[in-house]
Amino acid sequence: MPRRGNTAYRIIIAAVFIILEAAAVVMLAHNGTLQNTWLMKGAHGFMAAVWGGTESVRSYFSLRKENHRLAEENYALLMELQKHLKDTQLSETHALSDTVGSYRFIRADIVKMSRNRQHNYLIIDKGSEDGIMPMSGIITRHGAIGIVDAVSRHYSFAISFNNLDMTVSARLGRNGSVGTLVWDGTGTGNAILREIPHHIPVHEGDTVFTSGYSAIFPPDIPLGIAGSKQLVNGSSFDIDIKLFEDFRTLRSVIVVNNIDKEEIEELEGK
Amino acid sequence: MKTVQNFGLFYILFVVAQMFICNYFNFSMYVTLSILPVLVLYIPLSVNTILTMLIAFCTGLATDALSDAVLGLNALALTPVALLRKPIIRMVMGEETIERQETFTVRKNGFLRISLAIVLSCCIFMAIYIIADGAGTRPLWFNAARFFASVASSYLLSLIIVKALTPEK
Repeated sequence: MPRRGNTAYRIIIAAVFIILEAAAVVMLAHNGTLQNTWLMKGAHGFMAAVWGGTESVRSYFSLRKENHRLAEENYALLMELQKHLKDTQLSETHALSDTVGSYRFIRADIVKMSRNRQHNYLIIDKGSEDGIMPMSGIITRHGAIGIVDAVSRHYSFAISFNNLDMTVSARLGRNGSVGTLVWDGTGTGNAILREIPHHIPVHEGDTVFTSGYSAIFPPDIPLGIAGSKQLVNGSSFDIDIKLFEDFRTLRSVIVVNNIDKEEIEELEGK
Repeated sequence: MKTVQNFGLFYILFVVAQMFICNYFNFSMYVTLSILPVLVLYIPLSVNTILTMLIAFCTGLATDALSDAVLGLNALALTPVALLRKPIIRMVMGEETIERQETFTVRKNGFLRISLAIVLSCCIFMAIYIIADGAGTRPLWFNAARFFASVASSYLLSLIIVKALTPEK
């Protein structure tokens, strides 16, 4: 008789037990109508759970590829939207039509990004060979992400919006007052809209957009939602803004070049 | 029960008795009488687990074939009792009983221990039997009521079997 505790012997016992129970189940399924239905239902449930689990694992491992595909699709849709906006604005009103038409968009992925400093930066995988120029804006559909500072052949270094030195010209509502949006220096999701005149009515929940006055960012990109306001020096409001873009999960961005930027700056210089 | 041969004879006799119980003693839909768990529990400890499982499987199959139960039902419920026979005895009677391979009796091991071993084996058997017999068509309260009634009645019947299997002078 084999010794107790012998692993091989225990495996044999388990195997014999499983075989006998399986034989009993098969007999039960063949001879009982109720049992047959019950066992089939159980088997189908088990198979569904196994297939569902396998599918979930496969989906998880294909997330990176799927993200890349979605980023490409987003970019294509944004281009399509810009074309439609241009057509619509040309036919309805002459305002902004030139502005929309003067921006060139390039999709890029973030290679590196700092988040825990007071002067954060990011590096993207597109450079001068891809048409990126210094002082180009970096955006997504939900916010202004940064400004390109330096460019190499294949990469670009940019100042992140989460940088105390960076400001974005922003408008409260689509036709509201324009102020300066700056990072509040605390979390990645908060900013302050400064220099809003105190006579302008401000409501919590108002959306903040890019103004388009800076020659870097196109107008009307939604940036965030207005929160509480504080009167500063009795003349203007500082408004807390909750940003739409989550910088912690940011992967793909769009670099935007203002084709007319040099001409605008030249005019400013005169 | 002095020898394995004697036990074999009693075993066959009681399996035939079980067939009669299955065919003619259907008192209530809540009560399933079975002496098979106690028979498997009392298979001599010198018989190893694999052989015990084979004996239990064949016993269950024979009972199913010669009674009006669905073929495979008793075999399905009885094989786990055979698998867990030694762990139950070890837990209730102690390691010494297993090592000495001695028969456990009321006089040696006490009424409570014998009862506990019988109830545990009946519980394993009845739980599987009632779930497989109901096949998901009966409500939980019915299965629970049937389980408790069946375990209680089978336990009482098993005490008589134990008396017959282990006569004490």
